[in-house]
Amino acid sequence: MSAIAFWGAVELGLIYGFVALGVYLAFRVLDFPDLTVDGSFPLGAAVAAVAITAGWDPWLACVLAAIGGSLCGLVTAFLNVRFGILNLLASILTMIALFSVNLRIMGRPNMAVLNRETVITPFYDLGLADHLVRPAVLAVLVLATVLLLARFLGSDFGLATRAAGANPRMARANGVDVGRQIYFGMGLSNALTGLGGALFAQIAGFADVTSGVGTIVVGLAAVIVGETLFRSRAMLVALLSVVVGSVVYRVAVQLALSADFLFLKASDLNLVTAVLVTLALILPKLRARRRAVQ
Amino acid sequence: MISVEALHVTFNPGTPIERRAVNGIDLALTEGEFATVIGSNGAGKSTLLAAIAGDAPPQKGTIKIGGRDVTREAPAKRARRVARVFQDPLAGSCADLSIEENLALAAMRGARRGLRSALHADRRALLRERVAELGLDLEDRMGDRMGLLSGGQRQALALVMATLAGAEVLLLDEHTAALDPGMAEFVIDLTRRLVAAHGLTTLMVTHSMRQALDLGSRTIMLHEGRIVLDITGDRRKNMGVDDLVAMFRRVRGGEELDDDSLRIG
Repeated sequence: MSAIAFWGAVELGLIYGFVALGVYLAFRVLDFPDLTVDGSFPLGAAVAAVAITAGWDPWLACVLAAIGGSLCGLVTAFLNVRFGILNLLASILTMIALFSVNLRIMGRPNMAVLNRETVITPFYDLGLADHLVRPAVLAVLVLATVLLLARFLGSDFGLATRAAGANPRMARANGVDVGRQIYFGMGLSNALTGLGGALFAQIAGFADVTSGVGTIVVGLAAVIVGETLFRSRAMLVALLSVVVGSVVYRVAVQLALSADFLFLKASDLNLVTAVLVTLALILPKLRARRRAVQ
Repeated sequence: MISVEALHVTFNPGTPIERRAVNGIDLALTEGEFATVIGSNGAGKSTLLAAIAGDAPPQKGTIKIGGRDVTREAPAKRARRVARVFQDPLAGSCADLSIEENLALAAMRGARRGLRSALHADRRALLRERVAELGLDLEDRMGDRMGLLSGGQRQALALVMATLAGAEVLLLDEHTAALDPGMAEFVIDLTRRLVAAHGLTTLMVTHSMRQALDLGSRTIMLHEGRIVLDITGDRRKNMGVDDLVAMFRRVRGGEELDDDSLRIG
């Protein structure tokens, strides 16, 4: 694997770090299996692509993408909280609907964002090689997000969010409006995913309605890899590990794809992803069983 | 403080599995009154508590807490004035949160939760002090996950959590049933102390006839969703466990006490 390929993988891992943080928030903190991200990621990309092409400021485009993403999460939360539709099903409904919405936003299935001012472009003048600038800027952004999230989850409000996911009955008995926490958590989770999509569009140079397929699996893979690497339950460490997990996962996939003896092609990416996630899911169980036998 | 009038709670109404759990209960507790509740399985004890807490919406009747009609109020909203401890030690806290995070969550019960750090220095000191009062040596383990503690430790902390945010009403649903005898005694003693110290109006469901007569100042027996016995004062003082069991038998129409979960001790 060349240095450029390596840093490319790190870069992609950092972009999907935002997705992974969102997935962590939904799956782990709220205990809400949410597939909305498969729609909110390309939505973020679409919104950013359209805004930037229209000549808007790239940072504003990111904010709009995050707001758009949060709206997607709110729709899923609404279906679940207000009408009692099973959480997984509610998120699938939103995801399906978003495919059409994303086509509407762009007016076509894909859109190039080339030769435009993006959030990265001002930093190319700093003297670093281009393939290092992108990971550096992304690392700063994702770290800032981790710090803000950790601070939030450690606040009175954030603690209520965590309790609503961990033990809703106990949360209610302690005066927590569980429905409101689900709205808020789902909105935040998908805002992060939308932001990830916006950064993806700017760095990859395009937005595509199909780019969301499997986002949830990649996000989950990052969460699981991160949890396997770091066992601490401290909030800051848990959030950092999710981002690290995302990067490690991308590098691992890149390694697998570039290892000639495996005979893998780029198109095998989804298969490799599924196998890696399955392994990560099975391994802790096998380990536990072996312990139980001994 | 608590006033329940003509309360009816029916599960699955209008279906073949319809069950009238509470079938016309009138009950009034004055401020600071501590009543124990007994009755066989399915008598409606837990449902009565759930209705007061807001978890089981009644078909008919009204529930007032501190003079205010809360019959249609959501449980989270009622929690400002009503604290609860559940039978299952796992139910009353979050296993994955630390001891102090669980306590911090309870300390904000009924208050507006903002973005202030939940574990600011003042609160940590206060929580540590309250935990130290238990004498369970947990004050040096405040950062430990709740899931690492024993059932008894968790119930003791659940009682502390219930009294952190100035509740007026305490609902205890067989909160010692899952504990070993030693720990159950500790938790009962703690209950007595905390209820007295905070002047809480308390309803305690129990399967132990001994506890039912020893704690509080009033004993209520439920049968098929109704109050069949309500004793206070001298009548209660002169009543022994044997008398209560006899009364229990009579209520059940001479049935033998085949209910395993009912303990006389």
